[in-house]
Amino acid sequence: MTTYIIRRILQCIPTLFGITVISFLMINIAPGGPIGQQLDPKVSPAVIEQWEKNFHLNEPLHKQYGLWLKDLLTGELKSFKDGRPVITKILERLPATILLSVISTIITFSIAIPLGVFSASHRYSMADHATTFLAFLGISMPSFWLAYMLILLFVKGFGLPVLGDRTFGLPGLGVSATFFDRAWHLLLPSLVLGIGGIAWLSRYARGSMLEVLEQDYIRTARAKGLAEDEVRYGHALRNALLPLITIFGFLIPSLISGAVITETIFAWPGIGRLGYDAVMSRDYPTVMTLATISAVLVLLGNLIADVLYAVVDPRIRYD
Amino acid sequence: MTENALINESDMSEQPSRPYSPYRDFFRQFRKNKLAVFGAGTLLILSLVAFLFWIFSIFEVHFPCDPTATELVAQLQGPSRQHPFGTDQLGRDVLARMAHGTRISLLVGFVAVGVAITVGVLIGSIAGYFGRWVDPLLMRFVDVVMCFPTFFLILTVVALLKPNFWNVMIVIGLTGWTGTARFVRAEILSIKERDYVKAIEAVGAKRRKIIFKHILPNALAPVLVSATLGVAGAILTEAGLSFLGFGVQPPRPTWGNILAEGRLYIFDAWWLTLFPGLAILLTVLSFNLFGEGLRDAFSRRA
Repeated sequence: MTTYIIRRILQCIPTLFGITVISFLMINIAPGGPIGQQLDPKVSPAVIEQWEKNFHLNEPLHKQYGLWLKDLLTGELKSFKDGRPVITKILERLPATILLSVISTIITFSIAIPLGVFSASHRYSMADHATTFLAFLGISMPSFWLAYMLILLFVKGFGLPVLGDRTFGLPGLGVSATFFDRAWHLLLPSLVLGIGGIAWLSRYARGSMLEVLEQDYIRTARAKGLAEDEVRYGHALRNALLPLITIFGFLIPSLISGAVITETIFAWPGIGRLGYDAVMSRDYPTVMTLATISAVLVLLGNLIADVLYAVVDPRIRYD
Repeated sequence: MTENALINESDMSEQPSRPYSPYRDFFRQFRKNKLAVFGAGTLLILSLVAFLFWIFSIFEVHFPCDPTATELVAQLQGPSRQHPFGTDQLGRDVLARMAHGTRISLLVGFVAVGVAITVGVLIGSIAGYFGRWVDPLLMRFVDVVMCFPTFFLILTVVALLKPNFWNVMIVIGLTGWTGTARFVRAEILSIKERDYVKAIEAVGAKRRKIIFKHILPNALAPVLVSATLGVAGAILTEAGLSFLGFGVQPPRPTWGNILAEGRLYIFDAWWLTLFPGLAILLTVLSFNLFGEGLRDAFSRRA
């Protein structure tokens, strides 16, 4: 097991290198520089030169990459926009995004799996068809549109505040009221962030459950006279849930991509919005670091999923 | 499969003159899936609308009214008989703008998927057929691209390149090829071991010909399915980009940018957000249902 984990981590290194190269090239090869965005057009050429020197923009591309990588690893990479270390800026925002993603993942799994299992146990029934159609609807839903429809409904229909991570201008709330306020502000963004995942995962759970229900050991369980519920939830469910662990790894890229839109709409102070702002102001160091960090998160997610899979399924031998 | 055999036999006994045809078998399977037929029907109607309004725009026929005509006395009016989907902030008819936007929204999807499929099939078949050092290298590259949060990547590149019609389509396409590359490679790995491929290799056919003429046509079904589902994804991505202001730019109307303009007036003019959003939802849904129907029909075919 340990050798397997070590081997997997070593395998990640070339991928990681590729990721940094691509995120660096992607931004630096594109036409147009950051100078027009960052500095007043009236400043003297000397100031521009000094500025370029500060951010190593006068070096050849491969040197810039090396310096960028060095700064990134030592935490000295500075933002174009305000000169603050990029790492600090990201670390300030990261907890909000992690909170949102974790809640969204919990909601996704706790809605999708029962839905999929129910759908599979009532195959070809009216309820199954309805669930299938709803799942397709969820997969096809533009998440930003859903967000606006929900905002319209709650703000206009019920007069409830939904933007930001808390209600502003309400001093002196008790502990429990503050908690509910924060929880309420989490609910809509995490639902919007999770909608595609819920729909997709419920289809996957249904397929997995149906596959298991056809297995020989299920027939054996039925043949020995177990109650249908016992067969489904005692024998089939646990085996059907196994492959869903790997889904965990697939969800992370969509969570990060979705965070850009969801956080922008709901004014959520996370890295998605930071990324959007950085793209808008051509803050290259921040954009590149965010791209790298999110790719690392994806790699990490896949790694964790693979290891978990090996842990829970004794049939799998990796060495 | 025995079920299929039975159906075929009974059909043949009714119409002895019609021999078994894989196409007819495919259509029979496809028709059974009501949702897929619904999807196909909707797509047909949407394509007709797109085509008709393209013709209208060429000959400058303003039906039901000019999508660019501004009517400053009729700003932000709710749905009425004259303007079924209301008017926008410049008093333009939302329905007319949406009808003209259909073509662009569909086109973005098709072109982006065209790019994605071309790149995916090329990389997948090269990796699958040539193996050795080419395969691990290309697949590692696929892994790297798959790790990126696509939407953020697209957003960054489009923002740097300046958003226009072609940039948006190409960039969406260039990030969407990894899935295709992976399964094309897997298909080719299994097909290239079959006897008929060994036979043409033995008679000395060119590699390009073997791949494109003898192997790829056998991997066509999954490519078609993934292309259909890909169009759905591309339309959603374009809408998301438009929404953030990086999609196809106004005044050229697309569903995405009508929505994006509408969000500024969300609390005063819900129709600007609701109707284009529904149009996107319906189109993407149809592509998804159609694609899944294709997949089912292909896999159930005898």
